[in-house]
Amino acid sequence: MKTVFLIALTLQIFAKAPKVESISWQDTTSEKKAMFIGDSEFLPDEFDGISLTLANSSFDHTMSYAPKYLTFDYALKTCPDIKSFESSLFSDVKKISTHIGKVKYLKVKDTCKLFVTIKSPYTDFKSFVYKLK
Amino acid sequence: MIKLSKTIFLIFLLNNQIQAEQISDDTRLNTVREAQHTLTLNGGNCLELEAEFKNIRKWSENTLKEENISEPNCVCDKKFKKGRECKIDIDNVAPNIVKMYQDKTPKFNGPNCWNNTLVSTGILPHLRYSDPDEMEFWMKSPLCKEKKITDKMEPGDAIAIRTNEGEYHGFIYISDKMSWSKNGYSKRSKYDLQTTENVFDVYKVPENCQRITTDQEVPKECTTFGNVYQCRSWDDYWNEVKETANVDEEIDSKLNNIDCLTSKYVFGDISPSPQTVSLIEASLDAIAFEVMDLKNKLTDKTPEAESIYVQRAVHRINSLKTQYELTSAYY
Repeated sequence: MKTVFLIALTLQIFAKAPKVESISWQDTTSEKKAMFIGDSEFLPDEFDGISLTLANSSFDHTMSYAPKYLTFDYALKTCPDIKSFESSLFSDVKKISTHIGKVKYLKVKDTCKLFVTIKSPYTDFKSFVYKLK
Repeated sequence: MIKLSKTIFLIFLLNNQIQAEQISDDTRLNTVREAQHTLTLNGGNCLELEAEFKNIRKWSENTLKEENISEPNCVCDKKFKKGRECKIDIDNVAPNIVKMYQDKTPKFNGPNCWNNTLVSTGILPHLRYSDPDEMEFWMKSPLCKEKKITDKMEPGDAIAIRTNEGEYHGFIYISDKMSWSKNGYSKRSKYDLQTTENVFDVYKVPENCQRITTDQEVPKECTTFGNVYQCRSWDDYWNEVKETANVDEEIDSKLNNIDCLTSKYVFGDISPSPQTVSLIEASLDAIAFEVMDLKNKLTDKTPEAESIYVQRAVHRINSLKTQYELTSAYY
């Protein structure tokens, strides 16, 4: 009985252990998970390690029309101490640098948001690394 | 310890009973692919399943002229937890598109509801992305006739869900209970025989807005609403009118080839090299150049069939170009 209990407890601990997996921009709209920016290739270093949650997105898995761009707005748990910035996003697939969209950071008083715009063909790319809460 | 075990066992039993009731109360129809090519419809009773079998058969016969002489053969099992479960083989009566694509998802984003509606009515030959303009063009064309409120809905009717801004979704009506739809251009969205209620729920169409005609004023509460059409296939239409049109039929067959290759590519059946994809796109550009010239020559005096033929090509080219934009990131 004790052995069974110990196995069950071990399984529980493993189940709760944080897993790190990559996720695509589109998947962020259906995955209810905390986000971490882990790809400094796409986003400026200032945001590395800051937890993000998707606040709003123009993408819906049931949408019929494929727009030219999709937007993903993220809320940050802590706000870096800069007022705003805007930067282009590049993808380096097969060593070819391609402009895939832009990222804009805006801080108003104590709140801040990250606005990400991605060209439609690249929204299926894995660009974030997330951790389970 | 024994007391605790008994309590756990009782909770387990009670939980199972609640689940059994929940499942047996659920009379929703669903499809199961039992073997590689056998598609069955599952549900709570044979009466309902046989009715849907006949509706699917009627869709094949009506719209796609696919002859089916199969009769329904419904069988029921009593299963633990699931109550009575009945199934009926629809493999011999379902249109080819259902047999081939039920539960299937494409490899790339693009193939969407409008295109599924147009292919399922026989207007377009292959699955890929369709622009909303392509859907709107065909629904307004002589191939599709809008149904009046007094007309009876038939299996195979096309339903265009629209907003004030235009096309929003399209699907094939089979019955009040069942429809054929791909909900979205995402590669995660599958081709699916699903309940008609589900399609209207996903696209948030209130019950009183599900059947509106284009000549009537749309009620204020209907931010999304449905217009119903009965369509005939392209081959059916073209065979009847082609004598009146002075066109190069090569254009349509060239586009058929590109459409076919594109469909195979977006479903992962072929993996063309980047050079081959560039070649297909270049061929498309060359046809587009020719077609745009024909389009510019269209006048009010151009025979209807000729104008439809040219516009068909224009819409196909535009949709194919969008499809290639969507896959462009992968090479």
